[in-house]
Amino acid sequence: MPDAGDFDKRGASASPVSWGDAFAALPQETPDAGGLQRLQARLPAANTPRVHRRWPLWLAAAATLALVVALPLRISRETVIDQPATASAQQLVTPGPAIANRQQLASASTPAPNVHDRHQTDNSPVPGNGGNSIATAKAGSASRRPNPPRIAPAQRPIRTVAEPAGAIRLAESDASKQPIEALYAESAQLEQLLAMVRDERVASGTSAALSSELDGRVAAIDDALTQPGLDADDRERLWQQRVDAMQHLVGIETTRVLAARGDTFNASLVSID
Amino acid sequence: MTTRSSFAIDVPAALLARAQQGERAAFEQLYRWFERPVFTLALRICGDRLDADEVLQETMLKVWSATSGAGAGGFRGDGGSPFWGWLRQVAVNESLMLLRRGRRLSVELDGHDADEHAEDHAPPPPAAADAALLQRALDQLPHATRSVLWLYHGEGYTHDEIATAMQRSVSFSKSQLARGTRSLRMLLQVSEPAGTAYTYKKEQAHA
Repeated sequence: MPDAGDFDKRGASASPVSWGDAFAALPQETPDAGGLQRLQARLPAANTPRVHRRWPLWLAAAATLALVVALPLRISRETVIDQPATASAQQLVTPGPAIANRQQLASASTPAPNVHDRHQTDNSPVPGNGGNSIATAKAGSASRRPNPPRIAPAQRPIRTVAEPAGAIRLAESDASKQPIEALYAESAQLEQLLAMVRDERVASGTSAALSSELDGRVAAIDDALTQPGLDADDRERLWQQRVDAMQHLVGIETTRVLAARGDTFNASLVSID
Repeated sequence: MTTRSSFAIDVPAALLARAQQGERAAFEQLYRWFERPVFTLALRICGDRLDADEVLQETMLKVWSATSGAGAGGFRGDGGSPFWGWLRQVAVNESLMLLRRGRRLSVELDGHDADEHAEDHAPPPPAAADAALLQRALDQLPHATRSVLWLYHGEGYTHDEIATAMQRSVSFSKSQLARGTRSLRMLLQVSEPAGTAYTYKKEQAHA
């Protein structure tokens, strides 16, 4: 910053003509990154715009293709393809101390309870979490699918839609690339995709109930994300859970729209490995 | 007044229409365009980045509600009023509301309402050309005074508009403007040459 005394030596041309000019010359401030993602997380899931227009089959096919091909491609590009050439096969499947024991995996295979039930059924403290509100969303995530082994953040598994339930991929080990940023982006993409494929006119009782439960789960995670005092690990876990729930939701919505048109979704046709 | 607000961005009708249909990509576009003007305005009024961030979030939530059809009193574009003007008013209201919630505004407002109304038509001192100095001087002003100064000089609000936004009288706005301008001059006073003392003109009639 220039010394204030310099102004004594300045000519009259340096002086702003009016206070308005002086104020207008102040630089615009830039907010911290991630504001949009936080905002999107706060948008109520129930208010997700429902598309009530005729849903062309080509759009259904495009959405499905985007879901099944584009997302895994992007993720695999960030993970498998960009893996350093020295990464060994052992690294990809290393059970290691960072991964939870088999009992934890087995206990996580119980059927997913209702969102409302999670607050009552899960009273066990979460390591490093103190049993706070995050535990509820966390419990929901752990119980709804059998395959989330606890892996160190640098080797966090990313499960893609096209992969079988038990398969995992390893995220980039490069700590300089923040995984939470990728989760923000993926969550936003899934939101857009959901808005595109969703059509409430097309629903069976089962799929509607499942979709509704997942909506509730996303809302519960969003609530947890707005709690103060979340540390980076909790936040990242919650965002991972949100992405997982959104993937399920998009899958259900896509399937039921296709089914309503007498079509089916064959993942093997576009399976990528 | 010819103040050009940083909010003055003409939003295409097609983009607004897409946002009003609930398209999130369109909403994201609006967010990207207006995040800096909203954040800057909130920071100038509130004086704190965390507060400004909260204002940005609340303002954009209201934009979402209003444009996606859920918001009563949302933007309608009646009479050709631009979207940015409506959004700026939302941001101003949110900023002032945050100050009121923290009782930072009400405390300052008490006891400052009846004051002399001196309009200062003189140009700002040369030191005002230094953004850092000017910013530092603004930061030292009370919230209410800084808000009036920014709305008047930075956004081109009239005293009537400021009075409405701050739920005070026009006299209050004029008074705060005069006080704030004097304070800024003092804070930016850097060994002014002799003979450049500014004169203040008392305004006799005011609303």
